[in-house]
Amino acid sequence: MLVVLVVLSFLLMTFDIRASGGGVTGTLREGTQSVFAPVQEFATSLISPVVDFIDGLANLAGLRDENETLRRRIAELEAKVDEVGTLEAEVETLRRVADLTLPDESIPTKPARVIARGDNFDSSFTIDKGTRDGLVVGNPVVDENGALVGEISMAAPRTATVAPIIRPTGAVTVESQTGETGIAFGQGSAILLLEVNPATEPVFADYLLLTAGSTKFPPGLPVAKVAESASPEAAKIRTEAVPVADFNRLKLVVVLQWTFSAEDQQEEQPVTDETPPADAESETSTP
Amino acid sequence: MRTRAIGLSLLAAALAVLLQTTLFGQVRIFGVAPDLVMLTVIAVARRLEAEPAVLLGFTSGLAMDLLGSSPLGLRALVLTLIAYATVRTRDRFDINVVATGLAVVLLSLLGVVLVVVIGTLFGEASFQDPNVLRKILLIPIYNLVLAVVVFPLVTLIVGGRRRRELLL
Repeated sequence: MLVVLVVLSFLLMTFDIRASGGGVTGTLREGTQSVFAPVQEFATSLISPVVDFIDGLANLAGLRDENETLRRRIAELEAKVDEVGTLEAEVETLRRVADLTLPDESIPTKPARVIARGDNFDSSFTIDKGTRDGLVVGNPVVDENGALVGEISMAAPRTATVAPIIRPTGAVTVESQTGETGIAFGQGSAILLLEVNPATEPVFADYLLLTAGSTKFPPGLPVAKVAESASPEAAKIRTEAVPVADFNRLKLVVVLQWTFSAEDQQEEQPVTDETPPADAESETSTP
Repeated sequence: MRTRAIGLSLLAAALAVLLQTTLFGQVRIFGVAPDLVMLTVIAVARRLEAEPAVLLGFTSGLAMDLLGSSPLGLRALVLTLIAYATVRTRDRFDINVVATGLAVVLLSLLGVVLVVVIGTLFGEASFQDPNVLRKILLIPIYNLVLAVVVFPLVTLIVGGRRRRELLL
């Protein structure tokens, strides 16, 4: 029995990797997530107060910084006693989403709730919108403030899996304030590794990195802030950057119904009169 | 009786998967959450016979794989091996609380290391995560703390059948 199960596991892993998330294993995933989604959604709504309470306890060390947030949370909790607070909070969040201004306002958006997450070694998460809502694999995902979170890696009819940019295999082509293009690599934690090659100008701490525009993401979305200043060494910069989106507290995200098309490329070319960055092709954030 | 215990074990595992993907998806202390599914597999494998125990490990792991985005079969393999290791060692660690606690830590540690190593072999790049060491160290400790609640609960749900069998 043990040998059979071990062999079966290895076969599944091999099939899954060879199918790149599609095929029979992809269908299995979609089916399971579709079936499990309503249960997860219900469980998430039940445990939200518990999560908020534990979250508050866990962040005692940063109490001063969180003071304002806690005040707001207390206000929310008081409102919840009147059984109205939940709706008020939702309205507030939805208002932020509605007020969200993107660099390209013509891109249609779809707000979605985070209903489940992977375990310690899987930073992906599941949202409550899917192909039925018009989402497709590759759609960029931002937080309620418009900061880049990741992209849809798998879409079922009612749910979708988001592969965040912080995944160890994630990478985003970014542009710094000086106009230089680099790649921000995910490392599995809330720190990205920024590589600029070739680099002519130094990058300084708190420089905002925006998506440079590639086949994966539209240009101008905030991605991260440079954590440490760095100067070019052998025409190369390698430093850390902190994502703008707070991946630990994501509850609501906005999916941009955008996919790269040849027309976008044609529109961009006369303006820049340059070929797309070579590293844009290597940009990946698939599982 | 056997069918009932297996059914209840499956229910416990399903609940663990649900809590892992919802509650522990959001509650992370120092960026790490306990691995409730692994802990439940260890707790249940103490009580079941070998075959149902490894099958339950496989099923729980497969459920986690299907609900996540890591290679399908990764956690199924790891939890199958953890269930098997629990079955093979349970008579040695079921002697007192300290030995049981130590077993939880060691089995969880083995499980986490297997996820990282096998995951890396299958393209997960887990070793690139700067927090990998913290996760490897904290998950067994969190599981130990959670075992104080989970083990009696599993014994209550699944029953102390194995102990009674041994006595008979």
